[in-house]
Amino acid sequence: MKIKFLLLTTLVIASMILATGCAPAVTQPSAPTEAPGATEAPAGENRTVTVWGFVWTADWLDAIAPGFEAEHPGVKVKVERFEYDPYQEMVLTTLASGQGVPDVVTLDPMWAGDLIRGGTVLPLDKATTELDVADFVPAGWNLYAWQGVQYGIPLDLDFQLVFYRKDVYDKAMATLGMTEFPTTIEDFRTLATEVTKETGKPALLLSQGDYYSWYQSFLAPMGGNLINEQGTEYIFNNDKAVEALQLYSDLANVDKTAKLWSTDVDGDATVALKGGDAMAILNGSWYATEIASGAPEMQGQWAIAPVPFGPEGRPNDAATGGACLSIPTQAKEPDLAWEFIKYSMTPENQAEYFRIVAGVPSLKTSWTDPALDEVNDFFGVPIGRSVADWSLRAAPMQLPSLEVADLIGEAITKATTGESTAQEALDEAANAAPPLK
Amino acid sequence: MAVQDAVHKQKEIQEYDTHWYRLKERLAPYPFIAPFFVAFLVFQLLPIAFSIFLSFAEWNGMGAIEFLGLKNFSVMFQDPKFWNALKITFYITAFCTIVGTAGATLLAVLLEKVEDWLASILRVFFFLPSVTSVVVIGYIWKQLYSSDYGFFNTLLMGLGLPPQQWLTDSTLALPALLVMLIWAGLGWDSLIITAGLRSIPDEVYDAGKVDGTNGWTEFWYITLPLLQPTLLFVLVTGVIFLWGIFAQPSILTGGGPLRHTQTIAMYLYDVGFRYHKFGYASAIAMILSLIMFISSYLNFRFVKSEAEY
Repeated sequence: MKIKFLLLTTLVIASMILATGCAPAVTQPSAPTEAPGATEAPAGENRTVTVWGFVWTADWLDAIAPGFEAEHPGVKVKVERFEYDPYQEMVLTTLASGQGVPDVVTLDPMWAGDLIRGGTVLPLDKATTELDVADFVPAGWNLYAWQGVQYGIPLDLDFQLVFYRKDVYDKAMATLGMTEFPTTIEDFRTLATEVTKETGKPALLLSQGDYYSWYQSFLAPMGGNLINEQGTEYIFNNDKAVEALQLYSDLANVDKTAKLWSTDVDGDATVALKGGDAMAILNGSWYATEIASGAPEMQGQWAIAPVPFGPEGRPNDAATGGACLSIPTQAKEPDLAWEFIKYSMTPENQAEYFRIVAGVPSLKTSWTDPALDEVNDFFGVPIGRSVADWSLRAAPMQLPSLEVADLIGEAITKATTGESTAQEALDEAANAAPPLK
Repeated sequence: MAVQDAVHKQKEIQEYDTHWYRLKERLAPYPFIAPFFVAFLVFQLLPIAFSIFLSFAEWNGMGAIEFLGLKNFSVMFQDPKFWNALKITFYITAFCTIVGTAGATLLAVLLEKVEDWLASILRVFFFLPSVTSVVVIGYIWKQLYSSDYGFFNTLLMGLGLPPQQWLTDSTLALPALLVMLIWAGLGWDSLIITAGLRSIPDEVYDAGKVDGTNGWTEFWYITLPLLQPTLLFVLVTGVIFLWGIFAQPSILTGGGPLRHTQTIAMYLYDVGFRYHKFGYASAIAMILSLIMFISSYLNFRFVKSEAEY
């Protein structure tokens, strides 16, 4: 019996040691350091740079890959395409295990923060010397800088806009004597009240429990943020944040001009807009494509404007997100990867990004491309140009962990459903947030 | 002398051959069963051992593993979200097993009373959810519960009653989930109970009739006691299944509103795969495994019991 017990214990301990040994070794991040010229394959030898992207981004990567291959003889670009939902887990699992790691990875701001802080992507030391930093929209560039180090090169700018029913809002604005879409909280509240009065429907759809929407459209333009500048303390429960959450709640519960909408439970918001159940929605510029394809019969009835939720004279109208390209710490070809990223950041390739993905690139010289001035059939205006201009008034988002994002989302739900006051809900979230390291 | 040596040597060779033959014979089966054990070791035992190890450590899946001792468990026992998830899972388990089994028993008994052709059609109807993907079931019920376009609210408004926020109202979301779970499990449970009903000998009912039983006393004094082993099986397997429930609430409510429908398996998933706290998630998994182990133990204990005729 004792021998059996000893054998069993030995087996378990051996398994644990083996399992621990299987855990990925911690490697210190380091920038690509090979000498110039190391990106060209020696004669007769082929090298491959593997690039991961999701949905349209992958289509764009596919489109620019042949150009890179032509410039780098013997180098092949292998683009791997993923759907958005499984992509996050795929990236996390792969980067954590170190198996099958790509050389270039597209990151999304919804979950990039954990990966950057986890040391799974390389600091891009050459970014400041080999790219023209001044040519990037500051908010886009700073989005992927953490503690003064650049970890990703921004692709597009994703900040929220108001998509509104032009016919309905114009009529209400005429009634109120307004000549342009409001730019302040007070003016918007007045207009929204008039829209609701005239239509009997909510003037605006607000995302329930969505930290991203609240942060981009309310917290940032009202002067708040998630973490203090030193990176030592959560500040999403300070006075500005409480005021921003109170406004979010008041629009729905006091003014009764906004309807809280949860895509998970209520379904696709476009269906509600199409059915005339709400007259506006807050969404990223990518939604222009979505609504045009979801409600083509409403062509000409919609317009876009910057979000109006801030005081007069504020420095920015929204916080911006947007995807980026990064190099995983365990990439096999970090130098080739960097060359590919540099190649992708030419004005021509960034203009191609706009044509395929419809997201406005962060690289300003690409904005001279005529594609940005093309009039969008659905809206009747050149959306690309408008979004590009407005992006200069955007602030960079801070990238919280998913746990913090969930906690803020719960605080929004608690405050808007009356389970807690805005202050109580945000205090509870800040107290439950994992300590900042 | 030489002959003796030769005989001795021959004997040694024979013994060696015999010994070798026996050894080969004893070892021969092992290579055939080895693939299973190797796979079991690699894909079952090692991950379990690693998970046990991780429950005493902190690991975000990317950096170094830091040994913490019992800290994950002490944090867990003070974590209100863990207790909330445990409470919700307990409610779901208790309600669905008790009400679901009672409903399935009633359904099975009633189906035994109707005409065979009708019973067959009804059995197919009730059994359909058991062979339908949980994802499909989840999405259908989500549509039914939709605040703006759902069947239930249309029905309520048709009756002149106010529509309800079935999945976003914290008092309605859990009952809404329970209704879906009971509906989805009714067919399977009633099928097993039907099998149990048919194993009860007719002679017992005949004897009961001689003693003057009516429908109710027949059910109460004959059917129910003799159905006990089947009911225990349904109850205990239900308990084990429900403690680990994940997909159905995940699709219907996503654990909301405000974690009012978040089960322990959903919380474990969030902690592990969304927040990257694999050590803490492993500690939760250990507790969940312990609960499952106790349930399985009860299963073995109760299912052994036989009805006495």
